[in-house]
Amino acid sequence: MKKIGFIVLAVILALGLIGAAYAAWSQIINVNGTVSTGNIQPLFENADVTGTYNGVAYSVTGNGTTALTLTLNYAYPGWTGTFDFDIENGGTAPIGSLNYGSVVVSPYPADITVNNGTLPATPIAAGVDVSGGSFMVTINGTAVQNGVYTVTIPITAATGP
Amino acid sequence: MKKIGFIILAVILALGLVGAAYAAWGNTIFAQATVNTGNTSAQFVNGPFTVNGNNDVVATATADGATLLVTVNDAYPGAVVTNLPFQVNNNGTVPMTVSSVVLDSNPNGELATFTGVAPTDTSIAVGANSGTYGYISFSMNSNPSVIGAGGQYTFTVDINYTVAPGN
Repeated sequence: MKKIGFIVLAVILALGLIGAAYAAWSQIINVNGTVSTGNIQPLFENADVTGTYNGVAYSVTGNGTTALTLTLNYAYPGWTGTFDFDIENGGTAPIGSLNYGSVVVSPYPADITVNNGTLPATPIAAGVDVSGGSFMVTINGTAVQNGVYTVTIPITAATGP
Repeated sequence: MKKIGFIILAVILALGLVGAAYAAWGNTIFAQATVNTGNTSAQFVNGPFTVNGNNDVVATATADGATLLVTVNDAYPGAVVTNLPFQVNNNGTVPMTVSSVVLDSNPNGELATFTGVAPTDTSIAVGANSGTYGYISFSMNSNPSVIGAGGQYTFTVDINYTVAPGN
């Protein structure tokens, strides 16, 4: 019986030594990850700048910015003009999609129509300029003489591959 | 039950954060157009205009170009004026075209007949004269009781114009 107790004690000691040795040989290392997010920044580019289009003088400013400003002077009912532009991704992440928002015409929404809108193909990688944007402005027969209208055309970009 | 409520609240908050994060990745830019419409306005070219150089019938515009004065010398009952020309000037800010020339006022029936022909320009540029002439033709009433000797008669013709189509 005394012999058996000795054997048990020896086994316990042996296992304790193995555990100590294993602990001495193991370590924990850590991986520290830093994730810096990018951004998307659509910009208008290469929109027509100045000219006379079917008798209507127009000018465009805002290339390289987020706000394209188009001015038409002496427009008249029946006049239709198509304006082209590029979208450049001035951000650091790809633009995955582009969509037109709701066009707002004031003060008389029925007097001017914006349609046939197209947008550059997506995705647009960071720093890349893609052509293919355009929209058509039509002055309707209800437009008043010597009127001043404001047309706002939003374009929404979202990230994506 | 309280725990379930907490979980639902947490899920809602998490979804909200996801939505906020997604919105933060969207970006909207704007194309804004200011459209200033023009106007149509026409006036008569000064003239004088005659029928084949015959000064018996002379048309001249008033100083403001708004009226064309037609003078018929030695007119008589039944006198006929054929193809008295006129031109118009586009003093508006958009291309225009003359659509019709019609008799507006003939209060006492001095004119027996009237025909108006518009200039055929499909588009008269801003500031330009019509490249073609319009014409008016008319005949005086043949009744001597209407057209008396030494009389002066007035009639009004409307020149209707509009924005040039297809511009």
